[in-house]
Amino acid sequence: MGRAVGTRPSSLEQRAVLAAAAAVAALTVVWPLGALVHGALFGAASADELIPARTWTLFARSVALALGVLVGTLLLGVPAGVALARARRGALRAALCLHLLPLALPPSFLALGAAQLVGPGSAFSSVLLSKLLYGPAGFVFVMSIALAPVVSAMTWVGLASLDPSLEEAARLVASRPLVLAKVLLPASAPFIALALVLVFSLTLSELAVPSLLRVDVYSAAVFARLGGFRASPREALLVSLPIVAVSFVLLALAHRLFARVAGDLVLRRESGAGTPLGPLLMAHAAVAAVLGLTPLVALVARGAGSFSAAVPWLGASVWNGLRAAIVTALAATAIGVPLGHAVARGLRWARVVDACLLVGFFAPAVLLALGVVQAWNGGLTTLAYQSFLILPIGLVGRYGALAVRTFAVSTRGVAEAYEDAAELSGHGYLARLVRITVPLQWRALLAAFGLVLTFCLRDVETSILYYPPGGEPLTVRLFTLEANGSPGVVCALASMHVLATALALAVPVWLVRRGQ
Amino acid sequence: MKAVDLAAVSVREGERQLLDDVSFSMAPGESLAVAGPSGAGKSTLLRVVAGLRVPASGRVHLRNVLVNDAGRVLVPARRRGLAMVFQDLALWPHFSVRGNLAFALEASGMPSAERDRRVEETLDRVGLAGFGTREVLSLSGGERQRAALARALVTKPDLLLLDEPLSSADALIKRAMLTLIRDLLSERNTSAIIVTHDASEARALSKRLLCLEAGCVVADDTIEALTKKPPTPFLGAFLG
Repeated sequence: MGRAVGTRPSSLEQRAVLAAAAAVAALTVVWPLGALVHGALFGAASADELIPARTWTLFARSVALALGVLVGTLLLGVPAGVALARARRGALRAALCLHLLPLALPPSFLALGAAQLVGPGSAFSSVLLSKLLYGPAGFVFVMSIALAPVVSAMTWVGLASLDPSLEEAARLVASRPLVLAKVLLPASAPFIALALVLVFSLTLSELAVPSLLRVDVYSAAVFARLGGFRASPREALLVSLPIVAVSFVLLALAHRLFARVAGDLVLRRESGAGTPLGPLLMAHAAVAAVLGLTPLVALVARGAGSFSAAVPWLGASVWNGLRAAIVTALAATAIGVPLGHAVARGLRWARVVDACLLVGFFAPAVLLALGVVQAWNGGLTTLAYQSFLILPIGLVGRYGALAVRTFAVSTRGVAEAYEDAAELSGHGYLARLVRITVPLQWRALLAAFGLVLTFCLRDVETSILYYPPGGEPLTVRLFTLEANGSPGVVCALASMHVLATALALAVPVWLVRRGQ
Repeated sequence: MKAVDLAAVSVREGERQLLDDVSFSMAPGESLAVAGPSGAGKSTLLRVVAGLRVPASGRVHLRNVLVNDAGRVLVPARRRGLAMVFQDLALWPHFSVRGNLAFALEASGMPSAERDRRVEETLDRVGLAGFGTREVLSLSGGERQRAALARALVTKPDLLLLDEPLSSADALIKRAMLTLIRDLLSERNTSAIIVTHDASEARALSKRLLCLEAGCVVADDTIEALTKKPPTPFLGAFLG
């Protein structure tokens, strides 16, 4: 059948809802970045604002490290993803799901945990291991185990999206490993490539791990230079120029890959599930899971004795972080539903808003954060800037794209005819959205909420520059304590964060499982 | 009065001309079968009439009311008083059978007692009495076809659009459904446009056939006349 696709007439209701969503994107991404550019163009200049030679060296070093992390995440993540897609038995799949846990935590926790294992005065302390950990190799290792779950999850989703007949046809002519290597993984390549783009971007933005492991990288140097009281917009832009260029390349890549992935994404629950894993694959997946979990176990073990000592350090930081993450996730989901729906249905200017939000995600974290400071600190918005609201404002700009993209991908998998039928029955845009679109995609709604919540709970690099006085989240407090706090207290606080994150994520996960 | 009147309607998508200067009209109560090769613009034509697609140019009248004029939507889809049976049926899976019909009536502002009565009456008419509480996904293929038809007819539309509604039905179900659709259309004097790839469907539901090729109308006549002298090779093959 020649199904007509393309722009459908949009109603006044839809335009109003999308305009509200666009206003949120404008206030959280366009205005901050615009204010930064304005400040750079018209602000006072000084001689020391030129890019120093060392910046280029650091930038090259950071790119090299990020490439190392790409290799690490590929080696760890792809086999684990295959195992996740194949495992049918609950216990095995649950064990493998634990491998995904580090994704929900700040990567610095893994560095902290690893330091408890091999650092000075620890169980497996040795000079060599310590040297390895506190250096580029340690950075690549920690970031690889922290971000391998991104690759695993996307490999899993990619394999689950394949038509089972693709594998069945290949199985008639080739062995299992060959089918996997020559048919299934290449067919899932867009998903894996998208994961690698995300890994690269997250590695370049990472701040806490290099600071903790004392590795000189670009993001930490930029933060050190601009995180002071007198950050100059011109300096921020100049210093960030190399990474802005890389961000735009990543953005373009991600944009193309998102489109490919969304076209392929039709989850088939039985696709390949239950196929024997094979001892090599199982061993490899087990190693990936153990590598990710061991530092966390060490962290909790080290912190267990210091829980009571850590409580006074907590203050309101757990609540600050949780509250900001929940408000951000709610706001991002609220704009993500109409925008994601409109993007999937081909509305051009929704795509423009989506592109703005993607810029917020791929732009250097420190740049967006400085933009938030520049735009919101002063004038009528001072009140919002001084309140806890500034955290969700900055975080929506940074992570709002995740909600939009999640819902867009999901909407593309749902036949437009459901909405057409409702429209022909006389239902307006909002009624269709609330009664048809959202109920049909409630899992995507929860996924969008959970994804944004996860990224907010692990965020350090954005909120550290503009959290309100006394309103810092636990991740930021930990970042400041890591340098000079007692290791026991730091580990205990990190363990508490792990617990709070697990509790916060348990609700959407439980709801999805209950729905299934 | 004309039930449907399209004058010089064109639809473009990027470089592709989906419909090119399409004109035709239908009398009230008339059925029109639309055929053509894949990608000829049949579904686009239905979506233009439904108001789900805005034509770049041309005019569309429904019951003498101008609903589209030169790229402008004057009457949106939800106010056109028509219903559609989709190729994949598009029954809302999160509603029961009754819920599907009730939701279709909800926007009409009908009192709930009247709505319930209409739903039961329609289910009864299509042979689904007692199926109201069933989940859509638990229905067989034939039952789903009937439920989709019931949802379309429950609003008592003036015009029914059918987009290859029986393409996935087996021969037995198809025969029963064709009889049911024909009876329902004639007893309510409902106009219908039926997009089909099956000449027997076209013959069973309509006397007239409009053929589209590459977005253009290449034939618009009675099926009998077109069978005797098919103007294009496609129609020759289609009508046997």
